[in-house]
Amino acid sequence: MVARGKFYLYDSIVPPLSAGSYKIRSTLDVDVTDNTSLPVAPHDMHFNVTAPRLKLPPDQALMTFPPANSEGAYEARLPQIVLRKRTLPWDRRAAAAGTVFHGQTVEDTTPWMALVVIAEGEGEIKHDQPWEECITPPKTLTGNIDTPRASYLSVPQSTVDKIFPTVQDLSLLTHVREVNPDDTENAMGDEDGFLAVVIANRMPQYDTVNCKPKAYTACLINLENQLDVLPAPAPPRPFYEMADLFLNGTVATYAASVSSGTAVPQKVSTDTRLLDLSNAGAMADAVRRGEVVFHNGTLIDRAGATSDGLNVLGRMDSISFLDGDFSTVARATDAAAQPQVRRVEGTFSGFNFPLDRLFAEKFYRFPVLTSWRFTCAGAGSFQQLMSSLDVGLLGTVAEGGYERALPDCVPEVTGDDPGAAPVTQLPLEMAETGHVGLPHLTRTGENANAWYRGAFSPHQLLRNPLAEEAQFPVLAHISDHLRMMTPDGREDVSLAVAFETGRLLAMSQPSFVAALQRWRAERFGASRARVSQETVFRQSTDILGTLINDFDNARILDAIRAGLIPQLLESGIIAALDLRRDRTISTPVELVTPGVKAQGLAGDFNGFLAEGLGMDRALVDQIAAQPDNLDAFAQLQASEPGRVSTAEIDLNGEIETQLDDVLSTGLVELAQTAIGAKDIRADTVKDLSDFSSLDSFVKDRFERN
Amino acid sequence: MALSQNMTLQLLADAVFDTTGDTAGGTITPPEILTFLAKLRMLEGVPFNNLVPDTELLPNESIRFFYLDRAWTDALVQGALSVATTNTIERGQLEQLYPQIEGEVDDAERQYRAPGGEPVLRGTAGVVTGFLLRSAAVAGWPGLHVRAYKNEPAPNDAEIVPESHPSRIKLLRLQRLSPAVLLALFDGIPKVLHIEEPRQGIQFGVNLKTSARGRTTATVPARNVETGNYVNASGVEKDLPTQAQQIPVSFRRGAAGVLDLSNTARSFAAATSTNMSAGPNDPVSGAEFAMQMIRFPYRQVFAQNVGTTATQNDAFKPTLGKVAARYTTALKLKIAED
Repeated sequence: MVARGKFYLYDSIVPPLSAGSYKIRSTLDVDVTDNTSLPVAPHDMHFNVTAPRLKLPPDQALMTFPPANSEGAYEARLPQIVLRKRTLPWDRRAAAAGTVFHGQTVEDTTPWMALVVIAEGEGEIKHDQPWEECITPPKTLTGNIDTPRASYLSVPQSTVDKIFPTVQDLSLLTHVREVNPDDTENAMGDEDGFLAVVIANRMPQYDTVNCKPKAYTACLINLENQLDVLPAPAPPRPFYEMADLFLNGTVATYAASVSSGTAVPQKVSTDTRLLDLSNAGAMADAVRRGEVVFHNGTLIDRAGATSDGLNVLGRMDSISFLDGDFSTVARATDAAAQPQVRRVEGTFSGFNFPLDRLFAEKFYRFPVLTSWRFTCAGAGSFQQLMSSLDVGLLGTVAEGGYERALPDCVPEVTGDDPGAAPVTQLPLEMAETGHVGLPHLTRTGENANAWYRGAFSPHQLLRNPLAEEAQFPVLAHISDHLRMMTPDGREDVSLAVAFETGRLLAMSQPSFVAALQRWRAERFGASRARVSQETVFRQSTDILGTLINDFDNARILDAIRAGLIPQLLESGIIAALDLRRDRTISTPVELVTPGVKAQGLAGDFNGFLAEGLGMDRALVDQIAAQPDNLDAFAQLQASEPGRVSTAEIDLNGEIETQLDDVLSTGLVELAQTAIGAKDIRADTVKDLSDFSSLDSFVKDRFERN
Repeated sequence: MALSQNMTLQLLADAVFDTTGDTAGGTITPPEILTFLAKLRMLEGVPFNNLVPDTELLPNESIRFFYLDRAWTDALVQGALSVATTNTIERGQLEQLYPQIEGEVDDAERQYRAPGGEPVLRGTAGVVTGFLLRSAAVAGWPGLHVRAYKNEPAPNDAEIVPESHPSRIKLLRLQRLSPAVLLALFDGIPKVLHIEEPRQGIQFGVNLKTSARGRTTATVPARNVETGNYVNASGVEKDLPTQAQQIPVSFRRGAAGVLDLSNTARSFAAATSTNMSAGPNDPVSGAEFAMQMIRFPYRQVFAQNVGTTATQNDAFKPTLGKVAARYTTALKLKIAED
């Protein structure tokens, strides 16, 4: 494992199999001594080794330098891209190993991709093209293609010769870095710690000639089958010149017009247009439409581009341009004789301008796996910014203000010192403690000035500022608790503002308010009860001992593990309760509560009963002694017929009779109300017929009698 | 009662109170409330106007150091807790519990930022310091590395010690409040502060020098590829890149800034002090070339007492083994095993 903050570099990690389709064939030879062996059919297995080819999956690019769409001083740095898959630059072969191009031999370790940096005017990137068109015709790509539509970079021969790496350079520009995957600073989210790095061979330069930022695009291109296009090694130079910033005059003109924003053709018609420079009115219209522009003494036709570059109509001075006099130009160039003007597809900017319309050279196409733009602004490197920081404790007032870093070529402003800017506001009132005086509209409407200090202070502070002098509230409940008076008679509202800020932040989150309320409602009481219970429980383990009968360590441990503690204690608790029933549960109550004894019935109860009911005393005694014996009842019935009798009550019959009565009366009443007082019988019901209208219904119902 | 029996009973008591719903993880404050209060302590969501009341306190291109006012952040927390207290009983309860809540929030605020692979630090909150940085560097270099030290690290510290190391001071919060404003809070008073260019991207480059005639030459300080240290022409290792042998870089004719890599690599190999492989059978490899071209991220050092800041700017140092042979072979074996 690599230590944190360290890394290992590897030249290359070539996979055993490069991307493509493979077949495994297994054969089996069976030799039997008696020469009866039969052939065994071979077994074939097909598989593909895949790798990105025309499009880099977004998760593969871990980092790019310079950052995409950034602006800064990158003159002394080589752009690079860090790839997640360590073998990616060697997953394919740009050409078979051993092939020789311009005296340079292709090795196993020669990568199939390169990072090229092109400036505006040096090439064109076309997006979303059919994959067959992404390579210089008539070359083709064979094998599996990972995307039907891809991007390509179209560059003229001169760009390739000047800025593309040679075959030999390719392996110097790629390597593998191994870092500690836990080291987030170095690993950048990679999981195995191996990263492939592709470096460009060009340091993007700031345009010091014109003192203007220069835009670049870095493209990771696929070199498969096109290594022969790469330039031959040339004698080096130990220096470079800023005059070489633009590869040729066309690129310079084009780049200048792009950056000045004036002379880039906007729309082009296929027809050759006639621009009559002698017709001042037509020219003025063309200028007004923006087709013809005047830039640095040159009159340019924005609506067209020629094979020589921009459609320069000729030179003229600004005075005659302002006068609308184009006759001087007409003598220089004949507009009608301009070469043909071609159509430009769609809108375009710096990097998708159709350069093949401008250059008469051979153009090459390379599939672009990924690309990003950045601008070389000439100043503002990290070091420059950091070392010119204004350093101080909070509360330090910077004198003189801040000046933006500018490139060296920007001319210094000369002339008289214009002096300081006029003061438009009162200087900030700042106390040594870090407090600032701010306007304060008090609750009574008074315009005052209060001290305020945010959470940051230039001094180390006590946590409880007034603990020594006065009793500070332990906990403020409203912000007014935290308002303070300072010795100069002004109020210090810092803490009160903090309190109010916290309160508003809390109230802005309904979930937090709900959580607080839930906490109060459920946990405050429950927590208190739990604490007291736990204290009791822990301080009296002997109670536990008595609660568990036939104590067995192993059994209890099992119960704890299985979470059966209630069951473990259950029988013990019931037994303990039962043992001291009178104290724990209280004395059992008798099942029946006796009524109040009637005074008059005290004594011979059976006598009173026999006398009162007029029955035989002996029989009453017999029934009282043997309530189960029905013989005594039979005797009683026999001795006094009429008083005691057997009768059968037909409950069902009773209910039916009563129900019939109620129903027949009730239904008749109901029918009479609804239909009328006419006698309703089965035969009268037959007469009823459908009513054809409401009228006939009314007539039948209400006018029948 | 036997000793083992007593222990079992203690275990039982523990088990009972584990099951009675102690879900807050040992704190009386519910976790969601604790998290919110800890974030508040770290000033998350607090309007920037309330932190820096006037632009004059934080001008363009400036860094401002400060101590965090604990009373201020406590007031924030108290304000948040005061929500939904409706009567005296609730306020009384809160007053009783507040010291404990405060302690728990002290503990929780250190867990607000938990970098991967680092142990979580605990303990009561002490002095918190920090800085506000307002600069184009914050906007242009996202992912700046900020490291604070209790003691000045060795002048040529090759190791980046983990944040839990005693010499480091833990970062409590590091956040861009706006595209160009960076806020950092530290758990203590740092003696030395390093702000470093993002390391994701060890960069490759040269030292440029432009003559009066508009010609630009470039050199690379020589490095011994086996140790990773700078060397002078006679092979003696040096600490500073300026003391090392300066190897010239070759360019391609007719294009500004395009390197002639093969010839540059040859001059690297020609400088014997670099210990690079040379000869027709052992050409310069990608790793060796990259090793020479590595430029280290710039590190700005802020120190209370100005020390050897000049030497610390280039202190980040890689370690490289015998690249060409050993590791490549080992790796090939590894791949073959797979």
